[in-house]
Amino acid sequence: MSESPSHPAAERASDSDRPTPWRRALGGLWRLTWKSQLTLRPLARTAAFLLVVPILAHLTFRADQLEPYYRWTTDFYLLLLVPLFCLYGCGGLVRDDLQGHTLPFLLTRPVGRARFYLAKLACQLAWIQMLLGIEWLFLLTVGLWHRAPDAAAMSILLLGVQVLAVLAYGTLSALFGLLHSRYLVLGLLYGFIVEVGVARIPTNINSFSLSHHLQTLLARHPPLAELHDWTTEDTWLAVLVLTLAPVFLAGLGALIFTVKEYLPSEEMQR
Amino acid sequence: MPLHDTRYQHWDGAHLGIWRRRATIARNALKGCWQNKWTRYVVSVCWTLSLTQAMVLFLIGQLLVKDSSLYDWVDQLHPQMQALVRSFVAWLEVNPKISVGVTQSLLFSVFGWPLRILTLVAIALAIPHLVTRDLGSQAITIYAAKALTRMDYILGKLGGLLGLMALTWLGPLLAAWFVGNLLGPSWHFFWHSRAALGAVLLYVGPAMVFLGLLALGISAISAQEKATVSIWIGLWLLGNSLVPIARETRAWLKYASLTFDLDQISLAIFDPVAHIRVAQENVPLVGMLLQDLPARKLAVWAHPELAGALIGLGIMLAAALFILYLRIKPE
Amino acid sequence: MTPLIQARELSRWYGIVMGLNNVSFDVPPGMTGLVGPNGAGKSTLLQIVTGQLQPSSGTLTVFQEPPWNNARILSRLGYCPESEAVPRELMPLDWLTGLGCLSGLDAAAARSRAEATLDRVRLGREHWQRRLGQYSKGMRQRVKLAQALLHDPRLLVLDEPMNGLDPLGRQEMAQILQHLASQGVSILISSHILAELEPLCPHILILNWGRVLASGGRRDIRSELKDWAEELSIRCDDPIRLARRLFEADLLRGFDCDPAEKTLEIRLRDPEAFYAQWTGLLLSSGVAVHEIRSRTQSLRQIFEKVTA
Repeated sequence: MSESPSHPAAERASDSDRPTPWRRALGGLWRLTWKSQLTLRPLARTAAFLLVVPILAHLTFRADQLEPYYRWTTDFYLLLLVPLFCLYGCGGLVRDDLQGHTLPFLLTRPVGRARFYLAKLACQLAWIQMLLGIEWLFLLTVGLWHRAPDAAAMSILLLGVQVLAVLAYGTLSALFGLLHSRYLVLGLLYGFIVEVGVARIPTNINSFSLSHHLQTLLARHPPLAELHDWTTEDTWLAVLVLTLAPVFLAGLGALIFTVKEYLPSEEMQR
Repeated sequence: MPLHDTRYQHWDGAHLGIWRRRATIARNALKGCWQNKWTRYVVSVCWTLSLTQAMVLFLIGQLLVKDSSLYDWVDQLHPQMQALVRSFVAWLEVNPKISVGVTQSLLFSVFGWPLRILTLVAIALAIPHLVTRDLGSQAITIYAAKALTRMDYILGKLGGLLGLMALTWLGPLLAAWFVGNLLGPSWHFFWHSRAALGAVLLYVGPAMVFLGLLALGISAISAQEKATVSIWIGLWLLGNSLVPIARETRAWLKYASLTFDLDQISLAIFDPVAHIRVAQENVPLVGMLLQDLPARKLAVWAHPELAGALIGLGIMLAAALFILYLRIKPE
Repeated sequence: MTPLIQARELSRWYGIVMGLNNVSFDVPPGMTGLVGPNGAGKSTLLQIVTGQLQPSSGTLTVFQEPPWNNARILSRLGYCPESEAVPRELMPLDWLTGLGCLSGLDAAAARSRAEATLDRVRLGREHWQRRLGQYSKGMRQRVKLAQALLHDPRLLVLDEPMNGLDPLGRQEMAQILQHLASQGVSILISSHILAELEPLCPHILILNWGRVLASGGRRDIRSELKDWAEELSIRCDDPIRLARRLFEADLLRGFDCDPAEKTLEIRLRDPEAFYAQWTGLLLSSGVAVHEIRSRTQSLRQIFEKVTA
């Protein structure tokens, strides 16, 4: 039996016990984010994801008709694959650690809950932006390879819209992940009801659909606008919504994470 | 004094038969799915649709009853609508053998579509309960340590999934058929609608088995719930969005869409174009309304690409079975 | 001495299930053992202490402040959870460096601290290049302990750290903890096996069904519980009749009766009341008693009784 030495009385927390600064919290979470992806399986999954669309776009490219290329890059990639990838990547922001029982290691660090959530979200969004940036490069290469007349111009617009799309869908997906363990199905229902349903109905409430605003921005490229019958009306509203929505959604997520407990034991009962 | 004898006792009673053991696995799988409240919501929506279809069949039957309040209500309609309803009723009265069958076939193909979407959602919710969690929790090793083979395990899980799909797809359709005809004005309605019932069984039954095996295969890909659910949703949605692009470029790509393939089989079995034509010929006003249907769409519906669809589904099925073979072990 | 942890009328429930039921206690600096069977509320208590859960009612303070969402308190805590889960795809140094940055260290310092801590928990360097998913249970426990020690916490909270360790591993873990305690680190450690904690912890807190059954030094607990948990073994000619009479007088918490051996094992509700009435009851019952024995009251037996 070891009798411990004379322990000092439990003094109050002093000023030297400070929360971890933003920079270090971001650095730590960024390290954990990318290091965990550098294993065989995640790398293989990511490579398959990154290659499949450019290969399909390449296979189906027709010099006399650019429509398939536009459909791959906008309908298939930007409006479907990007939201799904964000849902997969950001939905599990907290849930993955919770289900893997590794959340307590992170939550017991001297980082406020809101700061932790925002820093983790920022790292995950940065990682997704990086991967999708590579994907964008591949798609641009396919366009340039086949000498699509406006590949460069369209790709620059596509990149800008993609950055906004990742921010908006990523923060929304992270919120879904905070709200329910079945965030994938929640996202699916959201997609059916809001993005597919409301977005296609010409009413005032289609402002809630993120894809509606993305389409408004993509319509700045005339061939895309003509192909899909999209209009550039309310471009500023689209920019405003796509810029403010991530701020609002991230803030809401931080608020929820600050007040709500996340317990592995409850997760297992679902 | 102990209340129970807690010493080890060898079980000397009769053992359950193999089908009862498989049924136990199926029951557990179904119970796991049912514990999710979202699954219960989806099932509720399916049965609401079933009830709606039964109501539509009931209303159609009431049109044939001269002193029904529905008949009185029709009298108050706009003259053009009245004419439409009366010509429909006349067709029902003159040739019930064909008209009842045609009407119900069209209704089943219309209501079957949202039920299939809901079934795909229910499977997305069920995927973790199939093989994924057993792989993650090593429960599969415990199953393997029992007097069960790999085949028993798969059959049991498939049974559970078929049970779920019976609740979301086949059950609501059969219930609508039964209740709708029970509320019909004549027992002959049951007989006249036999072709519609046959089409439902011929399409939905095999489709359920296919979707069940495919879902099992996907569920066995990974021990991570997130991965398997994503693959299922990805296969469904990405396949859907491939179809319009494939039509303009490489046609064979569209067979990678499981919903497109199932649609082709559904079109071949329900043959809605033939039914629409019969309706057009016999109910003039209906014919006029249906003329607005795009000719291109009708042409596509009239010639389902059955061979390509079957090959597409066959490849998916083979891949699913191969995954099951690799992942569900040891025996 | 100011307590390290103070709980006052603390309750925590999960829906209709009580995790902790109106408990009040103090945990002094030093090494404290938290003992109780599965479901006693140990993990709930530790999760509240480490700011992962909030109390449903009452208060709990660590270093005199509530720990929920309190980064200043968390900077002085190290926590090792019960689950053996670790990020399978990471290598130990990468994981610890990331967590070190989250604890406020810069990357270089976090890296060197990670190396030093892995050495401190005696994880062989030859294992550092393997992913955590490939580690044995014992190795995982060491890495888990290492992450808790990274930032030199003043209070180390360990939830069943001996789980899954072989006897040698347990001994080594005990040595590491004793060494830490000798350096002035306070440790709150939980286990459902009292024998593990008895030699380590001068202070013990016994929990069951969300209630504190006993708290204090080992000797204090023994004297506090001795009477409360007293158990007698009585050999007599009609144990059933005697049991019935004792129950009618509301003197028993429970009993085991063995008519074949003519033995009655009784657990007393209130020893004082029992001994006051015992003679009269025995005479009026007409039962012939051959032998009365009191069971020895070791701390281990007390624990077994109060948590039974």
